[in-house]
This record gives sequence, C-alpha cells and structure tokens, in this order.
Amino acid sequence: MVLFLAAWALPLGPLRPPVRKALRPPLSVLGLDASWDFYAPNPATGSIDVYANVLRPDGSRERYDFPDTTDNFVGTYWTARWAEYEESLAFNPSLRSLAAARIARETTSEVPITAVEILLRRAPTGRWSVGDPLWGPEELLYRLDLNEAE
Amino acid sequence: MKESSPTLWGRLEWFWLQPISTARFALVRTVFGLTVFLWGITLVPDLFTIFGHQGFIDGIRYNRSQVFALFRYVDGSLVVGLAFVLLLMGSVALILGRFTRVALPMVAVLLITFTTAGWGFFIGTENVMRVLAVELAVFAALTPSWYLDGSVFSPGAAKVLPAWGVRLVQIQMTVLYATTAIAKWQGTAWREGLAVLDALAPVHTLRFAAPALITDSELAVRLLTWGVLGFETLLPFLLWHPRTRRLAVILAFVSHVGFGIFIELGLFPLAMAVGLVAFLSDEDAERLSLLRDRLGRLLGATRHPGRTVSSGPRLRRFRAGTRPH
Repeated sequence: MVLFLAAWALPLGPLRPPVRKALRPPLSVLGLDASWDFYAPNPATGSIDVYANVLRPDGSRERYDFPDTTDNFVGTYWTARWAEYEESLAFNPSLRSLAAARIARETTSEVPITAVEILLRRAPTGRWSVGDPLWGPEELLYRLDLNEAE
Repeated sequence: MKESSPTLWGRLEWFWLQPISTARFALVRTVFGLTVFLWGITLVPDLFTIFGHQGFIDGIRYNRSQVFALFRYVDGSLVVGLAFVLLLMGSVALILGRFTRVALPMVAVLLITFTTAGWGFFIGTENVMRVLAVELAVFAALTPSWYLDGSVFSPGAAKVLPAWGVRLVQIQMTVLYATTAIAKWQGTAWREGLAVLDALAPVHTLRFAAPALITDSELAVRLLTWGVLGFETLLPFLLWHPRTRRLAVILAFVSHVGFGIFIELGLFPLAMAVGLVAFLSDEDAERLSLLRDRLGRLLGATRHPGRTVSSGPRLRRFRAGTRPH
C-alpha cells in the first residue's frame, strides 16, 4: 500500500504517466489516486467568474450566481466548495449539463424558462496590479435549450 | 559482551511494530474525527442541493471508473440523509474514542462515497481526508478494539499499540510534502520567487486581500515564496528528526492557517493537522492526559485509572527487551 501510494506520487516526468496508468485501477477503488501538486508547478493565475443566465420566453434573462460569501470570514467555510465548483465548471465540460439541468429545475417558477446558459468571464491578473480585476468578455460554456431537452 | 547490530529486517520490524503510546493514536483519531465532523457541518446547507434527488450531481459520471462509492449502487435523498447522519455519528465516535474499529471503516467508506460523487466540489481538503481515512481504517480493521478506543484525555484499555497505523499516516504526509515541494521546484513562479503573489491574486478564491506590506513589496514576496519553497523542501526531513519535529509540526500548521486566512482553503489546515499530529512524540500526546488530570484535580474530581490489559505477545516482546536484532 505504502509503495503504491509513493509510486503514485512520482513527480512530473517521463515515468509518471505509465506508473499512474498501471496503478490507477487498484488505487481508484478507494479513491487513493489523489494528486498532491498543491499550487504547483505554478499557482493558477487570473480570476474566473462562472454564473448562469436563465432565459424566459419574453426574452428577459436573469443572472444565477453560485453561493459566495468571500466577504464573510466564517461563511467561507460553507462556500469554499462553490469556488471549487466554479473552477470545475470552467475547466471540466462533463459537469456543465448537470449544472444547467439543476439550475433550470431550481429557477422554474410560474413563468417558464426557455434556456439556461452557463457563462465564464476571466480576468487575467497582472503581477503588482491594483484595484478590481478587469473582466474579459463572456464565454458561453454550455447552453441547455429546454424545448430540445423535452 | 558486544551486541550485534540490528539487521535490516529487525529495523524494519521495529519501525512498523514498535510499541507507541495509545495517546498518540488517540490524538490522530480525535483530530481526524473533529475534521470530519466540522466538514459535515459545513456541508449541511448544501447537502441535498448537491447530493439529493435532482441535485447538482444527479446523474454524475464518476471520474474514477472503479471507485467503491455507495451512491453508485443506491441513491435518493433518503439514502443521502442516512449516509450523512452515519458520517456524523462516526465522526463523533472517533472524537469520543468509542467503537473505533467500526467507526473508522464506516467513515472511510462514507467519505469515499461523498467526495468521489461530488468530485466537482471537492479537491485538496477532501483528498487529504479520504486518503488518511482509508489508511486509518485499514489499521482499525486489523487491530483489536482495546488498542483503539479511549478519549484523547483518558487512555483506553491498552497503554501501547503497534506503531504501523501512525507510520502509515506519517509516510503519507512525507510523500505529500515531498511531492508538492518537487512539483513546485519545477515551476518558474516558485523559482523566480513570485508564486505567493500569484496564489494571492485570484479573486474567486480570495478571502481577504493580503496586506499591501506583502503584496507591494518585491522583497517580501520573494522572501515569502522562497521561504515556503525551502520550508516545504526541508519539511519531510524536519518532521522525522526528533529535535526538529515539534517545531516543524507547529510551523507547518501555522503556514497552512496563515494561507487559509487569505485564501478560501476550507478545512484544509485542519485536514493537514490530522497528519501533522502523527509526528508528535508519545510524551507530547500524553501531556494531554496530564492536562485532563490537572483539570480534574482543579475541579476536585476523583481519578479512576484505566484498566490495563495484556498488549499482546509481540508487543510484550518489544517492551521486555531491547530492539530486535
């Protein structure tokens, strides 16, 4: 077990891919195939903002935001996982359809909705820059058309 | 008469099976139980939003094809609620030092279940918790109950237990810190001395803006970055040396808490503390028992010494003699 875990943690290099390929089946059974490259080799640079637009038949749209209490010292213990989720949505397409479906269910009211769009904005962070980040244009990550879904 | 030097096998056997104070395992188990409990509490508002029927992960495709997660076989809000209650009950049992042999494997299976199903929500903290949970669960499943139970302030039936459970955790932490340090040396931002500035920049994970004293000073940023890199490089060695381990444990924990003030790390510092306390000595861990005694004397309570039972033939052999040859 110890040898497997140590071999799994090999640093980036030519040996790592074949070793991980061989060890993934036994280690993944118990979720032991974890990565320990915290903030490495380089910390992620830049900020992201992932949110959704809920579109109504009359053409109006409402913005849907994931929970965020970064201005609340204790509240961040509850919402840190939503920041992780935004990153996962930004970089992992397989989660987006489920997120859109959930947002559609959550926001359906007396007024029906026609589509849910998951959007991303990026703000490259310059070193030594000051002030609020300069957000770039919206990027469409995923669109769920509800007529199509039905 | 000259003693022969220990063989490699003897040294290995001593390393893994050396008797250590049960207070040390109790400390690791208690901090782990506390981490799982608090993690569960922070999950309460989102439990059904994420895991419930038609929640965010309803219909998820697991990114680990073979993982043993209960929600792959049974799901629904009732199952989620039941699993969550069992997780909290298991964590409380670990804090109190009751039914550890059952509670640790149960908590491990439930942590695997929740963290692999909700993989989009969980990364660093949950990875550490899950891997340590599995290692502690393997130890608990193969170790008689009288070694495992007992409050951190009040030892259980046995006074010593074989070291290998704590060793697994120590080796895991060593691998973790060494891997992170090696990976950081491969990054230009760390070598240039600017990585701390980059880590503190993304607003979506920022809790508080770091003081300008740090972020406006190139000298401070470089010293901090290289300080972290140097410390994490040395940490796998400092944690094992008897003279430096206590200071290394404290500094490592303080550095995790320090970054956690500015960056949304959730319970990551506490999850790392589970592994770090495994490096404390028997004496350090037993001081907690003394603290209980002092508190008891202050309150005028009568002390009832714990029942001592046989600690098994292998341990008796080690305790009676010197190191095996």
